[in-house]
Amino acid sequence: MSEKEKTSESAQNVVFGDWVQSQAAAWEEAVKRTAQAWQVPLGAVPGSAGEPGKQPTPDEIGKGLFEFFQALSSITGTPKPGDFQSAKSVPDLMVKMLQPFWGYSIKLQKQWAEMTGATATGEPENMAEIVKQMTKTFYDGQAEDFRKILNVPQLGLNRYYQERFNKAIEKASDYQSALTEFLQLLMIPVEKSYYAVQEEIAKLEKEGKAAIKDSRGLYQLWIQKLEDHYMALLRSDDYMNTLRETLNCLHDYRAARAEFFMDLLQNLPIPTNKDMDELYKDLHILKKRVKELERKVKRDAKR
Amino acid sequence: MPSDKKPQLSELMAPYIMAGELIMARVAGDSAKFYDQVRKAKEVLLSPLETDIAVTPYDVVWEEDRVKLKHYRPRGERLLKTPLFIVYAQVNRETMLDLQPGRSVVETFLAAGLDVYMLDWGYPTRKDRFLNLDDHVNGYIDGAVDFILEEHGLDQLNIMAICQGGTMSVMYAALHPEKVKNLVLTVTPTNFDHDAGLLNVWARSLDPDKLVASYGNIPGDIMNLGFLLLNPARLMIDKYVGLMENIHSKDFVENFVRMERWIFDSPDLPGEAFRDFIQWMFIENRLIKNELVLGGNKVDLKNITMPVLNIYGKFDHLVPPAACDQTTSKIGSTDKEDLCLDTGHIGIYVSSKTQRQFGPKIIRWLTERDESPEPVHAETKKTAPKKKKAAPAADEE
Repeated sequence: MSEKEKTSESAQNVVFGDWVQSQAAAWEEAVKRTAQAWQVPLGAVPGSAGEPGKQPTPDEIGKGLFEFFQALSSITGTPKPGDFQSAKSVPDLMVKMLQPFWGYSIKLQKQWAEMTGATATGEPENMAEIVKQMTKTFYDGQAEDFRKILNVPQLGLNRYYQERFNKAIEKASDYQSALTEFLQLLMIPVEKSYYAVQEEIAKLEKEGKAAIKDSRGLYQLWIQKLEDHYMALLRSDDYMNTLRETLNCLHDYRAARAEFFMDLLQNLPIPTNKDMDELYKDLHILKKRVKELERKVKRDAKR
Repeated sequence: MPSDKKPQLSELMAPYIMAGELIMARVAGDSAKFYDQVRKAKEVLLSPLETDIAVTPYDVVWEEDRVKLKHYRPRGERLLKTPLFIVYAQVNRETMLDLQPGRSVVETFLAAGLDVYMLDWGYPTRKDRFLNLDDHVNGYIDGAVDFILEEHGLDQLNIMAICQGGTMSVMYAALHPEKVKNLVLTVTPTNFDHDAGLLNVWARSLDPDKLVASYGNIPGDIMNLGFLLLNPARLMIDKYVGLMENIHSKDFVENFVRMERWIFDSPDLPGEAFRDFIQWMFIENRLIKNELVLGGNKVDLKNITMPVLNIYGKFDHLVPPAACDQTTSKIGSTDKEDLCLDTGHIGIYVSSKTQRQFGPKIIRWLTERDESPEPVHAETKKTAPKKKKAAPAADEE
């Protein structure tokens, strides 16, 4: 290895070492904050005003985002020595960048702890309701924080590509949200059938009739109740609206995904679905014309 | 929830745990029975199982694009002079009519001396997404009918149609009545303006434009998921619990696997045809109102003047009686009959009870109307298969 290469490698090591150190510090900070936030809803460490474990408010998240983009613009613009005064500026930047994400992560954790009875404040109804609330919390969090990042105006040569990528991510998130709500709806009859079976048994006992003794009888009762509750659900407006919303989100997601993949495929020697569809349509029209002509020739020949 | 006390996770999970326990208890029973079941299940599942479907031998005699025409090899003398052309739905496969020896509508027809042709819609690919309803009715069905008529030197043939294939055959019979001698409709929806079945309720709320834009062709798996959701308790739980209970019976397992193979063999639906069907049938109900136009021609049900036999199932949850029982009152035929059987959508073709009613009734009805047709051509051409048999020739062994 030449002296020049050695020097270069050594310089790279220093730069890389700094980078590794800065990344480690950023994650250490993030983990510390998350751990503190976890402890608050669980009641293990009582919180006090202004401590680092406090859940970030929307204002704080917004401020963090603003500072992040300020820092980002200074990086992408003409770099000044002051921008990288120390490795510590990078962990700060990373923390600010991650802040919106653990903003809703903390909310989610807190909600989960409350709903599962770990704290004294939750009002859980049933598992289906918990899933619904968790989904809502998670995606509302995204709506507040994550979506803001995705909708930051894009600039320059790559703007359309970036916008399509962001749109695909956003629509995937919307679809996941709708799908989870749809699946949650399908859980409801399972829970209702459980209580219906309990009620039925209590009713039989009250009437002095023999309770269902064998598992076969109990299973038959449960499956019948389950079927009845599904039938009621599947005809309900709630179900229809959720189904429609899920399918609409699925459509939007698939359309956004197709646009994104089209950008990728255009750089490869692979035809896109759009290219193929245009070709198929032309073929379809041509075949119809040929068939029509064949029929005409046949008719004329018979005359 | 009945109690004011804050439930713990275990309480919240109780409905799911109970469901699991009930299923397990139903399947396993007591421990002695369970071990016996496992032993027998092992014997059955590890032994060679006969689960082939559609084994009746046939030749592919015509094809256009993905669509093929199967001609089943006659067994002995042809007792009916008019050939029978069977049009199945595009949802699922026509193999249901030939599920297994002893439970095969095709076999019953062949044994009675019918000359049977059946349309195989094949598996649409993205290339087929622009094929619309008109292409299927005035294109593929008409192409297959012309082929059969030419092969037999006849003016007319008999059509028997199933479900959505029946709806398309009603359109065909109204547009080309001169080519249809007798029309047998089975579980064929023509009226879509009712709330008797969930399928109708759901289909009316679909946005076919968005689905077609998203998928091109509508995936068979999506359709199947929709069918499963019509009754999740029975189709996604109870059915498999039944399998586990009977897993010691080789016959039961073989029949079950055959049915599963058929159910989940679902071709995609060509996008434009799907859009036309949902929009014009389910949403606008054009057919029964005589408002449908295909290929520039009005589909007038009064043009259907040939004899019509209309069979449907009393307990059909996919095509309920309300979807089928208006047909005969709207057509122009004078020789027409409705027959409502005590069965469901699939049971009409495969249940042992209806096997004794369904096939023999159609054979009788067609035989009574099979007066000698005059050949169109001087020479009757013999069917020349384009391809060698696609199904194993069980009767040649």
